[in-house]
Amino acid sequence: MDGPLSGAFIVERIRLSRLAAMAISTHVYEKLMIPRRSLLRFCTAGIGQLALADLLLRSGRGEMPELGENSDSKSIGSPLQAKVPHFPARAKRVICLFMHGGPSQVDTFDYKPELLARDGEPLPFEKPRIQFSQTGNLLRSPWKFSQHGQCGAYVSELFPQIATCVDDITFIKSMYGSNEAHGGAMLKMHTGSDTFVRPSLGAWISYGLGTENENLPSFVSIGSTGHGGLQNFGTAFLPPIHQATRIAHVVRNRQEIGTMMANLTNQQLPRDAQWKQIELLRDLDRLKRPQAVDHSNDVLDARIASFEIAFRMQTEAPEVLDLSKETEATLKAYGIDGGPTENFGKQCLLARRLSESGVRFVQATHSYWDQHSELKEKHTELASQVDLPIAGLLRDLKSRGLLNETLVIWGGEFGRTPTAQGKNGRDHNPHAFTYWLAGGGTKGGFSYGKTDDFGFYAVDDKVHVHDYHATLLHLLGIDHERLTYRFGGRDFRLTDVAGQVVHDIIA
Amino acid sequence: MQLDCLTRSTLILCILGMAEATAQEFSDAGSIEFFESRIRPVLVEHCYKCHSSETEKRRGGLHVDDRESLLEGGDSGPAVVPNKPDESLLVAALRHDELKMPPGGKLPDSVIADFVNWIERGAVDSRTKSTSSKLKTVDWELARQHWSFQAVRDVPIPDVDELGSAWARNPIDRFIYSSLQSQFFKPADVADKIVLIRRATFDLTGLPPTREEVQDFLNDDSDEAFAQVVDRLLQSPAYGERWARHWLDLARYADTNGADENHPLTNAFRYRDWVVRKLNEDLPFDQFVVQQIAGDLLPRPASESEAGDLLTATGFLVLGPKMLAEQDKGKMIVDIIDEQVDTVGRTLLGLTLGCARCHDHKFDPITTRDYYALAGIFASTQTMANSDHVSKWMERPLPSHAIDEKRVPFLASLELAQQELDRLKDLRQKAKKRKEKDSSSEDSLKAVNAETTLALITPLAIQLQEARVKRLEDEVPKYTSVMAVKDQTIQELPIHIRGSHLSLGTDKVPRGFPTILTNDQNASALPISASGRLELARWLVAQNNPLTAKVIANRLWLWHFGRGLVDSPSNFGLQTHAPLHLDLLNWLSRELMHRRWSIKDMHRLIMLSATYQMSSIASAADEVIDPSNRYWRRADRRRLEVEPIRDALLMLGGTLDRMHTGVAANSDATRRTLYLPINRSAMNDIFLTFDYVDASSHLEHRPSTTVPQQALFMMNNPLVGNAAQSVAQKSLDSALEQSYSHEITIQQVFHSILSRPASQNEIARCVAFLNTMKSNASLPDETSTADLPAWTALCQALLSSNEFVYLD
Repeated sequence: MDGPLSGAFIVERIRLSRLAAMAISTHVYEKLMIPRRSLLRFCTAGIGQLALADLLLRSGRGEMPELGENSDSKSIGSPLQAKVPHFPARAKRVICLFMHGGPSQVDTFDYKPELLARDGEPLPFEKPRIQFSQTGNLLRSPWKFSQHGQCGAYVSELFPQIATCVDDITFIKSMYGSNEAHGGAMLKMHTGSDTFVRPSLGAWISYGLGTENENLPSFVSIGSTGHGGLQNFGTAFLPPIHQATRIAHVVRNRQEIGTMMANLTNQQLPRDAQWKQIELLRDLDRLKRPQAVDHSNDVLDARIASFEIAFRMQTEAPEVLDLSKETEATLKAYGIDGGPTENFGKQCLLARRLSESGVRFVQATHSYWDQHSELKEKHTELASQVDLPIAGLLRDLKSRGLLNETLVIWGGEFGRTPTAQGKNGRDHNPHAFTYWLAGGGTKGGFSYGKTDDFGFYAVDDKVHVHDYHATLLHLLGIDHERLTYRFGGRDFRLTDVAGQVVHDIIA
Repeated sequence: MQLDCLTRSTLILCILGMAEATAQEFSDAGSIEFFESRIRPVLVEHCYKCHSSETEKRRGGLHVDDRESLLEGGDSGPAVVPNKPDESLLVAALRHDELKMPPGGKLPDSVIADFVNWIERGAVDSRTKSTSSKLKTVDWELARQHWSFQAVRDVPIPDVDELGSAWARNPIDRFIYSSLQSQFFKPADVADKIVLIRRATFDLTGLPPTREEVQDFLNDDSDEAFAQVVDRLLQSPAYGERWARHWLDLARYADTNGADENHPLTNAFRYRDWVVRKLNEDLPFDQFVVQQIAGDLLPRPASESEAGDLLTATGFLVLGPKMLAEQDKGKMIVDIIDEQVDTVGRTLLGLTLGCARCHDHKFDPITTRDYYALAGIFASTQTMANSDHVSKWMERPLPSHAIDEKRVPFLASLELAQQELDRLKDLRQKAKKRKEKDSSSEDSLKAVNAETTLALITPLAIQLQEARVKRLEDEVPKYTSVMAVKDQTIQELPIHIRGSHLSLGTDKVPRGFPTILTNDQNASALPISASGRLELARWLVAQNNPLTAKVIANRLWLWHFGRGLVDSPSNFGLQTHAPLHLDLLNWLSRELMHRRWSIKDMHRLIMLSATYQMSSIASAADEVIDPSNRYWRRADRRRLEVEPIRDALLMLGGTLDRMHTGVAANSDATRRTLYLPINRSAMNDIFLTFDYVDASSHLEHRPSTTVPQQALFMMNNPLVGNAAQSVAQKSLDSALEQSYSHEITIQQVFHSILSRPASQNEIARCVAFLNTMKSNASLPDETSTADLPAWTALCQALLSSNEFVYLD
């Protein structure tokens, strides 16, 4: 496998992933001659060295590594190394479909006939001590609800496509949080705290489980970041490697893939020249430190190795990001047809591609469900943008046999008041909202928890944000009380000192 | 969690319904049997999981294992008041009036009725305390023995042998040498001059040395050569730009609020520029601290700009992220105070004081009382301008006589316009009232008068006048504003149970400083006329404060060497072990005070030591025994942070803009990285890639990771490509002009990027690379322009090298 590796050659080879990985790894092994001992000792940073070390060890054992294959060499500690869960996982990865702004539970999945019956009457009990704005009397939902599927779940007219999937869905109707403003509620939902700067859910999961594919990030966020911004996808005190890689917009055109992720493509230098450049870099490094013995040497070796991994990433990542590889039928199933569903359809399809390639946690965010006014018009418009893409995703995952190991989550940062703001709007409501989960070991065709007659407060089997987080981790095989990180003299958890797993929703 | 618990406790009772106490049917409710059969099993089944010494859990500070624990209760107060079920928190919790226990769901009414009966009959309990044990209470005497709580003391400089005396350049080296000697280690050789000038230049200015600077140093054979380099670098304005960044990490500096509403902090940069300026002026560190905590309370200097600086400095307290849209404004305020206490504690005292907000510190001798004593100082300080729906932080105008004068004529016309507006409004108002009254009394003449007035002074006329006033307001010359605090009404705070402002302790805690750090006899009450911030600031940097000098001395060491003498630079609490070089830390702290807290003097002291000037080349044998170099046998290699990496790339690219103030227009600007806007909610990609990921909280030390994303950056980012091309272009231009050989041109490139000549092997490898590049890309050869891509690729490889991003 010596001799010049042309760009086209490499790309072709990587399609034949087993062979290609073998080619690069033996090549690397021969040229680098990194002592195996120093690789084993190395345990500070980066997925690059893990992957490389993994490749080297396996090729040393005569095994053929595969691109995207899970690492199984536990002797090398990398922060992104795939880890053994606390107990058998029901879900291997998560796709979170986040509806930023706060969709209304009483207009979507939490059917309240009393609200219809008592439209215009005052709420017969007290409103919360702290409210975002003042609201008036009860406001009926402008949409009709009907029952669907074997389970007979009520879904409003807003989601005719999702309605066909209800037998795969578990609704949690009794979600509640504490913060009545977008930013605080977003941070609560994403980090568990609206008071302190804490690591995000995805970062905790990446920290807890590592990656399934060393050529891709473990945590990806697609779409706008909204209130709370980066902190929703950040690591706070966890190692920075667990932060989300952000993809602000998704393209369909193969030529524009470079705009989706930073530093993925190079317009100046052809790929084969880049490979020669890496060889030069490596050789000059050897000449500079022929017999270095100090500890930091391992880190420097690892850094050189990270260029080899980066080279593979820039080959594999665009393959995963390339939606043009999908069939017309698939594109259509996700609503990628240039119409209103185009954008979220692309987000959902990319989420599936990333997820099936081993990305642990993918969030696709859709904005902006904040209807203080124009509820009827805007909720209609927003729902029409996501209904088909979401149903398309669920059907696609199911037909590929991925739904049982992929947990799909739908929800926002809070719900909305059943009381009216103006004539055609609803205020923020952290006291009750609906989340739904599909796949990943959840029951399907099931509904958990209840709100009061009007959907203002969660009342039965309440599920706090911490409980939701605890349950999510549980499905991934993680005990939320044991996933801790020591910082500033104490152990921190995603669920702080709370959180009860909701066992009833698990199949 | 606990905060939520309480906010949601208002959940209306009409939904849940109150548990009705059933008739007192148990005549024997006061007996042991009753307890054993009806109460104890419930406690075991439903409460022990979280409230028992058996399971080692003590949620909310409560154990229910025995009578004493129930009577004493937890953080929210006694759980059981014998004979008084209505005053017993346990009953309220079971009824889900408060706290809602057990959390999984309310117990049957009959069980709750049993508890009511049991308490009414005196809460007879057969269990003794032997099975349960309390959380450790603070052993103050023992805690005072902790290494970091000892007063900073004079330490004798160790005697060393002849070799040591020959090696040592100043007392730092004698401390280091004596510990090396104890392990039979030898210090590494002195680093070569090129390594040394690169190390010092990046260290003090965050930039690479220029080729001339390297040459001058190489040509200077005097003993003073390195000292002169250090002095030159300390004089450079780039010094303040580099060292300000270290401080800004601690001060969680950013240009937007982050948190919920990511509003731009348009005046934050004035604080940042203040830090740069003061470091360049070598403002003594004690004053540097006092001004940031309480500059506004110091006597006002005669000079306007100095007076302004004192206000600007307090931006330190205002910079933190705030939940501006939190509608529970009480919570917003206590959260802001908490953020201030936490930042001051970690930055200056090396203590995680924030932990004591909800409960006594789990590890350190800091009580909630200590916390609220300090919090009272910040509660008496105004940080927010208002508590509007989306609230606004405080900004204060900088004093300016020039603007005062300019404003005079504008204010005069503004006042006139305002008076006219008031007059019009008043007339219309009166006319309206008269019309209403008169139309009912049917006095037609008066009604007509009123009509006329109303016809003359139309709403439009008032609107026009309002617009006039608004325009004049806008025209009034504005003062420059800075983020700053001021004192407000003194407020001493009660303990907030579980950290909640809705659950207050009974008595207020007098403002003060943490007990463990103060000598009780000398503790004097804070003034009743001021917040106590000035006293706090002065106490922080007082000679007898055991922590502040050690914390900053350790940080200086960390910033120079990449690793502190104490591993946890912002936590010197009971969980940290005394550092291996405790004497050196003490000596440095003392020296800092002796040198009037001059940071620049400390730089000279540290950098002129033999310890600082050691090479990073290790002895193989010693490396096995001490792989992490705990004894400072050699220099540590360390990766540059994002700022020097980016700045060096821009400098090599020839585009670095050296303007010294203000905020860069955007992240594409070619200003030094210090001046790029820092958006807490959308950090730049380059920051995220190179380990600067969070500007929302105090950052004690930048992580240094090695990830493929960094390699992708070096391979593909235009910043690197441009720098490579610029170096290649310059080298080719001079090669063409001077008819240089490839070999000389390669030397030029090495000098530009790595400040050193290339070896023969390196040259051979580079020539081979150039040849394959040329043949493969099938470019026409021999012309400078045509060779540019190959040379650029070569330069990019050097920029990607370990040598370029690591300091040796």
